[in-house]
Amino acid sequence: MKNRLFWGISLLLGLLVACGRQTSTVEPAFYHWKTRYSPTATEKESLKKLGVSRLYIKYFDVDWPEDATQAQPQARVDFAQVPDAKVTPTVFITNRTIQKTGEANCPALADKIFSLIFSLHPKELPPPTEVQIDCDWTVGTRAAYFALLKRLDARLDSAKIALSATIRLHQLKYPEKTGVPPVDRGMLMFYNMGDLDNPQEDNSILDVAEGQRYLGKLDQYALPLDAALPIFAWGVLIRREKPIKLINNLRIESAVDIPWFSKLSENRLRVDTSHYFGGHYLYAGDEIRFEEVAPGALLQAAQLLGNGMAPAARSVSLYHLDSLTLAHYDIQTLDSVFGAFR
Amino acid sequence: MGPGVCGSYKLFEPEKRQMSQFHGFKYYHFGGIDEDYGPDNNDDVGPSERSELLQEANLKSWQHHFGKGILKADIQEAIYGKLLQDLPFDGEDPFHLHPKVQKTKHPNGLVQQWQAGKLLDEFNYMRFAKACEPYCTAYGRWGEVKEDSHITEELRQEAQRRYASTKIPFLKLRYAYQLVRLAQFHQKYDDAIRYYHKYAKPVLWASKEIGAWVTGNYAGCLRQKKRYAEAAYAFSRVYASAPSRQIEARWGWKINDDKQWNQLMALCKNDREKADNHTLRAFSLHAIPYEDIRMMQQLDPGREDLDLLIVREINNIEIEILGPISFSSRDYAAEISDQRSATYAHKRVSELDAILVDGLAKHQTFDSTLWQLSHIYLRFLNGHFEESKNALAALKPHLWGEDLMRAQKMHLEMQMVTTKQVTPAMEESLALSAIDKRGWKPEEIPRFIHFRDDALFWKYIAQGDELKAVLIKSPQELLERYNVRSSLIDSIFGLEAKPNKTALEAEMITRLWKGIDDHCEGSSYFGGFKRENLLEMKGTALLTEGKLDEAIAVFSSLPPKYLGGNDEDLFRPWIKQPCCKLEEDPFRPWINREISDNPLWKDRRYNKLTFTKTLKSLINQTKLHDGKNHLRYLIIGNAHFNTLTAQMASTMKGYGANAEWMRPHQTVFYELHNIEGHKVMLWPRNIDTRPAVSYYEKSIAATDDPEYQALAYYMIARCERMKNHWITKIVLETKGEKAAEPYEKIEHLSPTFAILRDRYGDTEIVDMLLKECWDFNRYCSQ
Repeated sequence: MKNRLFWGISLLLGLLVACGRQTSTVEPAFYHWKTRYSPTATEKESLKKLGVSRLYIKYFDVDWPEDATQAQPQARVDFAQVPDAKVTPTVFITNRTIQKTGEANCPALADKIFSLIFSLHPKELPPPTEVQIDCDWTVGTRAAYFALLKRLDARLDSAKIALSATIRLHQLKYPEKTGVPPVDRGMLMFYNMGDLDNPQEDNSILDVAEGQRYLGKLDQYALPLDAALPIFAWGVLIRREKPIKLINNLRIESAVDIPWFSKLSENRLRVDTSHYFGGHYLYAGDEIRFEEVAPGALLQAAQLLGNGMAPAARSVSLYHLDSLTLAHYDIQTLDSVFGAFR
Repeated sequence: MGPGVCGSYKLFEPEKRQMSQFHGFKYYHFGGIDEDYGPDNNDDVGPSERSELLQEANLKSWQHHFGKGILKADIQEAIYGKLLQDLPFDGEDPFHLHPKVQKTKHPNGLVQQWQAGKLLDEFNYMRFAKACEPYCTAYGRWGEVKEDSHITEELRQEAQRRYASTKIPFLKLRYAYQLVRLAQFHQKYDDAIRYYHKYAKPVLWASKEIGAWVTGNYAGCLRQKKRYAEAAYAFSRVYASAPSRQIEARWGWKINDDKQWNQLMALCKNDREKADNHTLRAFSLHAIPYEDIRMMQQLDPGREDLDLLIVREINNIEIEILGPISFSSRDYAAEISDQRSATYAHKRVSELDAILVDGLAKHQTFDSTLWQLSHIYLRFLNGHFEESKNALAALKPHLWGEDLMRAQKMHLEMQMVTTKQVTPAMEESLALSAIDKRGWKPEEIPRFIHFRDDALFWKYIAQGDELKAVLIKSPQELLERYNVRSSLIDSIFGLEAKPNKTALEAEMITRLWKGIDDHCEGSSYFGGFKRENLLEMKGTALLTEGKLDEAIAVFSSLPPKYLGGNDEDLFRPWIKQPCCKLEEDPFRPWINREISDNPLWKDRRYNKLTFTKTLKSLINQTKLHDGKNHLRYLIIGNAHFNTLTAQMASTMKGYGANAEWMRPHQTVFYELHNIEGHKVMLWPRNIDTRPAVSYYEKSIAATDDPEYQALAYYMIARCERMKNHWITKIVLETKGEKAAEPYEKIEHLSPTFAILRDRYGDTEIVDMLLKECWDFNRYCSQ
C-alpha cells in the first residue's frame, strides 16, 4: 500500500514538474534552537556552502510553569558569536502560557516580549527586519494568541519590522476553525505530522504521505508562506507503553552497540538493565524509538511542498542548525532541498 | 461531574496533595510527553521567587539570631516590608556603615534597637541586602536583572569588606550568600564557586538554613560548569537540610550518566547521604522508584521521604487502575481486574506492596499507620477484596482523626466494590449519624459527606434507582438542571410518606427540605426546597409529557402569588428567581428578532398555568378546524419546540431571547452509547421533537404562502439541530476534533437547511435568517 502511495506521489510530482511553472525566489535559511549561539566551524562552513542568508534564532521561550504566577521567559539565547546573516529573532510560546495569560493580559505580555527581544538582540547587528512567534495555538487560545500578535505587530510596525508566525499543518488545513494569525507572513512547519504519543507510531517527524493530506488548501491560505523542513532526530523514550520523553539529537547508531540494549526492530531498542543514557536514567523494560529524517524523505517532502506552493519570494528554512545533525546530510542533498522551491 | 476518576476513591487525596513537600515534585499524574532539550538547557538553576516557605525560613533564622527580644513581625517589616526604605536618616548615605537613625519614637522593636545604637551590624547587612536585591532576583524573568557590571563588582567588593569587618558569623554567612549569588546571577560561576569555598564554607555552621541557601547557589554554579556529580551532591545536601529549598534542590539535581552517578556515590560521606540521592532520583517525574526505595530502606530505614514516595506511587497506580472506571460501573470489581491485567499496574502494586510488607515486618516505617493503610489498600487494588475489607475492619478501631476518615472512605470504597446493591442495612450504616467520626475536624465532615454521596450516587445510578440518585447528590441541582419526569416527583413525595425509612433515606429527605449549609469543594449544596417548588416541577414535567389536563390541575393548586412570581420566599433554592412567570412569549418561533407582523406571538406574557391553558385551547381549536389555520399549527409547533429546550422544560424562562445555541434537555441518567464501536457513558438527550415537527408539517401543508412555509421549515431545521447536536458532542468529547469533523458539518446537523436555501431563497424570511442565524448563513455560504 505504502509503495503504491509512494509511486502515486512520485507520479504527481513528475506531472507537476512537467507542466512547468513560474520560478520562486528562495532565501535559504536555518533555525537555531540552542541557548548559546556559538556555531562550530563545520556549521559555519555548511551555512556558507548552502548560501544561507537568514537565521531564525530562538531568542527565548515563554512558559507559564505549573507553580508560577505569571508567564516567564526561559532559556534566553546567549550570543557567544555575532551571526553572519540576517537574523529573525524567534520566540517560542507555550500554548498553556496563552491559555493562562488570557486575552485581556496578552497585549501586556506582547510588550514584555517586544522589550526582551530587543534587549537580547546583539548590538553589533542591524535591527531585525522580521520577528517570528512560534506557538501551537488551539481554537480555545486563538483569541488570546491573536490579541498578543496584534499588539506585537503594532509595536513592530512602528519600527518597520515584519511579524511572522509559525503555521502547523492542522492550522493550514482548518483555517476556519483555528483562524489565520494577524501577521505579515506564515512559516509552514512541514514536520511533526505523526502521533508522537502513540507507542506504535514509527516516525512522527516526517511522513510525506501523511503530510500530503494536509496540503489540500495550501495555495488558498490567507498568508504568504515560508517553509520549514526537518533535519533533526530524536529518541522517544517509552516507559510502560507510554511515550514519556524526547531525547534530542539521538540516533540509533549511538546506542545499538551498548550491551544492555536489545534491538527490537530497525528503529527500536529495549533497555535490559537500568542505566543512565542520553542524560536520563532508563529503567529495565524501557524502550527507545529512534526517529530521524532520511535524506530521500527530506527531498521528497521538499519537492511536494515546493510544487504545491504558489511561486513567490520565500524563505525556506531547515530545522535546525547542529553539526551532529548536518553530518547525516550531504551538502548536495540540502542544496537540492532549497532548489526544490525555486 | 462525569464518570471517571472523579467518581473514584483516592486514598490520599486531598490531604497529602496539600502538603508543601509535594509542591514542585510533579505530584500530579503527568499524562503528556515531557519534552526535554537535554542537559545543556533548563539550567536556570538558582533561587526562585520568594515563596511563603522561604520567607518563613528566613524569618526563623533571623529570629533565632536575635533571640526572644525582637518580634517576628518587626523583622518581617524590615526584610519584606518598606521599613528600611521609609526610615528617616540623618542625611547620611545609607550605604555607609552605621547611619544614624533619627531618634523619633518608632513602634518597631528593631528600629528601637538601632536608635539605641544596638544591632547596627544587622542593620547594615539588611540595608546591603536590599541594595543587592535588584542585581540578584528575578533572574530568568522579564529583563528585571540589572546588568550593570560596574555596580555588581562594587557590591561584591563591598560584601568582601563587610565580611571581613563583622565579627558575627551569622552575618559573615549572609554576606557570603550575597557574594555568591551576586556572582552567580551575573554568570561569574568560577568566582561564585571560589567565594563559596573561601567565605561561606568556614561559617556554614552559623545557620543551617542560610548555609543551605548558599550551598544551593553554589550547586547551581557547579552545574553550570558541568560538574554534575559535585552539583548533585551539593543539591542533595540542600535537600536534606533545608525544607524551604527542597524544590530547587530537586530540580537542580541532575545526573547524566553512570560515571557521574558513581562519582556522586563516592562523594557521599555516609549511607544517609547516599539515601538522599536515591530519594532525589526516585522523585524524578517518570521514575519507577522501587529499586531506589529498596536502597533507601537499606541505607536509611524508615526515612520520611519514603512516605511521600509511597503516596505518589499509589496515586499513580490509582489513576492507572481506577482512572478509567467509576462508581457508575455495574461491575466494578470485574473492571478493576480488567484494568489491573491490562496495564503495568498489577506489577507495580505487587512490587510496592512487597516493600510495605517488608518495612512493616521490620518496623522500618516513619508513619506506620500510613504504611498499614497503604498495604491494605494495595491488597484491595490487587483484587483481594474480602481480605482487605477484614483487615481494615480490624484496624479501624485503633484509628483517629484524619487516619480514621481515610479508613472510612476506604471502607466505603470496598463496600461499593463488593456489593451489587445498596441494601437497607448499608443505608443504615452509611447515614452520617451512624459513621464513626472520632477526632474528625468539623470542617472536614462535609468533605466526607461529599465523597459518600458521590459514591452512592453512582451506585444508585448503576442499580437504576433514579429517585435516590437524585436525592443523594445535590438534588437541587439535578432537579433544576435536568428535565425530570412527573413520576419522579411523585416518588419523592412517596418516600417522604414512607413509614419506616432507613436512616439514610431520612437524611436525604431532611436535606431535600432543609438543604445543607456546609460547603465543600466540588459540592453544590444550597438551601432546601419548598413543597410548591416540587409541585411546579411536576406540573412542568406533565406539560412536557403532553398531559395538559393534569398539568393544569397541578398548576392550579399553586398559590396565585407563586404563579405570578411575586413571592420571594417561594423561589427555588437554586435559581432564586420566579419560575412560573414566563419572561418570553412561549409561542414565538426560535428567532432572535421579532417578526412583528403577527399578533399571535407578539410578546405576550404568560405564567405556566395560563400558557398551558392557552396551549390546550389552541390544540382543541385545531381539532375543530383541522387543515384550516396554518398559523395555529405554527404556534403550537413553537410551543412544543420551546417546551423542549433546556431552559424551557425546567424553568420556562428567558428562552429564545439570547440563546444562539440550543441545548437539548437532559435527564438524570447516563446511558451507554455505542459510537463507532466506542462505548461511552453519556447523558442522553432524550428529546422528542416529533410533536413540534408534526405541527410544522401541518402548517406547511395548510398554506401556500412561501414566507410561512419557510419559517416552518426553519423551525424543523432547528428541531433537527437540537436532536443531532448531542451526537456531535459525543464524538467530539470521546474521539476528538478530527473524528467529530464530519458530524459538525451543518448539513448533517440540519439537513432541512437545503430545502430552505434551494426552494425559499427569494423569501424575506430566508433573507432575514441569513442575517440573524450564523449557522444557516454559514451553510449557505459554503
